[in-house]
Amino acid sequence: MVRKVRERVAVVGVGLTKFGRREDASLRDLAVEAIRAALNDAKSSPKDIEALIIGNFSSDRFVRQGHIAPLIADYVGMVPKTAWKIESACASGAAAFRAGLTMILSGMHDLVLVCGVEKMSNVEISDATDILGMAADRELEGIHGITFPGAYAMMALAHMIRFGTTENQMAMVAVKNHRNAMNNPLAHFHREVTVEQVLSSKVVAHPIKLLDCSPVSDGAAAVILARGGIAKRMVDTPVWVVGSGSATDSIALHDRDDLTTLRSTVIASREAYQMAGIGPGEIDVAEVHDCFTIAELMAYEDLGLCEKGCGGKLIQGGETEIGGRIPVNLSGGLKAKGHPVGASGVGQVAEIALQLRGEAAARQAKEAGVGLTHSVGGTGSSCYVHIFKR
Amino acid sequence: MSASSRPVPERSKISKFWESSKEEALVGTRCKRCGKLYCPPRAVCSGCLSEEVEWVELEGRGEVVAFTIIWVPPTGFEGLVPYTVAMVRLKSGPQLMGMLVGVPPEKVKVGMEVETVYEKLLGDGFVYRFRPAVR
Repeated sequence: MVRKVRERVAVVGVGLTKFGRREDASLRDLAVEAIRAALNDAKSSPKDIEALIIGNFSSDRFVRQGHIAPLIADYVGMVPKTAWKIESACASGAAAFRAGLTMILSGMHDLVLVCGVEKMSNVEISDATDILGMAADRELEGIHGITFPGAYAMMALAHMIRFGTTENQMAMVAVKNHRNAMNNPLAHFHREVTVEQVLSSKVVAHPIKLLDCSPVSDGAAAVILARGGIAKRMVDTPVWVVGSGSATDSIALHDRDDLTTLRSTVIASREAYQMAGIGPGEIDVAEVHDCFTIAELMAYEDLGLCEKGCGGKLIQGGETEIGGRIPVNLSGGLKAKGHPVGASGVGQVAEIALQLRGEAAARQAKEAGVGLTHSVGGTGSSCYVHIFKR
Repeated sequence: MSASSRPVPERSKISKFWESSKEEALVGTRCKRCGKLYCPPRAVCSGCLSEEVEWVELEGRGEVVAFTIIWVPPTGFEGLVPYTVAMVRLKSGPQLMGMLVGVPPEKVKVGMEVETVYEKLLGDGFVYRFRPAVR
């Protein structure tokens, strides 16, 4: 059931670290960097914040550190305030954001800080693959040697067969997002790629190539959420959270009847649109979960930005480019901004807040009044969609 | 890394699913209350939460509905590259993921008829695989 949000909640501060291979910074360093930036942006101090919610997938295996919420609270001077961690695989940051939102809507708190963080580059790439694989069904899928790219490759193949989507169209997503990242100083990659380079990059899991995949990145992002009246007193440009939707789906791919759609995205977005009282046609700018290029094309369709099966045509027509009808992933997306999994969902919110505030500099979308974020856990076993207004 | 670091079945309420591979049989569970069929099996029916489920043997035949060829494998599968993992719609209804063997990756097609074969893993474990149907 979708209830209208009676109380208004706004994003009043955002902070991001540089994403990428951050050999200079540990997990706690990254979180502190992002939180300091968000507090600075909101002209706020740790003593004002009532609660800290951390989004993180696997600090225990990536850096062998557990109990990171109090650890981070300690290092940003928030002790003895309440702090805990939320996990929802690659959507951990978005799940933490929704948790922060519900804390304010519950009436329990007025000012909550949400920080997503992941330090992934300390482990070998094969171990990173293994750790990310924990987001799928280890017992029933892992035993067959399937990988994350492999699962999305099956979806890609099913999409190609049913709708005629091409590897060329998937490559265009990488080209667009790498080009967008050129205008984002904090992005992991500052390197343009061509369709030919994507198509000729090493095959990871046919038909997915290396340049169809988002990278393993380190990074953190933080946002501060405030109850309506307080938000207005704190800042001149609060960004209102007007819709929130979340859904789950089977953990294993074999329990899905249709491999060409992420049902959790369809349901979560429907819920968010309903709460916001708007339709997909009213979205001006979106950050979607492009862990693989096929995932961005499926997101266009499942979020209702185009008809089912037309994702390939949407990218081909340039409609999701900067200056197009509905610019998508102006930050560079997970593909080129980078994908520190726990940070990504919060990073998307920070990007949309900057877009709606008109502060996105060289990558600013024109007349951005309504923005959407879309974050997916695993192969779509969890999904979070949020809608924002200026 | 060697094959010894591959995931192996853990002891659980559906251990019979893996154990039956040793007898070259594919089994699932059927809920006695609502009739829902599970393969892979579930010890409790997720539809009606009944634990009155019965083990049923299924015909290990079906059709490839999607597949991928893995070139960058997870830990433990390095020696098999490239290998095919397929999603198969069993004739009895459920969808099942498994490695597809006995056919070069470039010859795999969606719609291909396949059947189960059984392979010994390291230790005591067995696992089902798919191969092109011969019958």
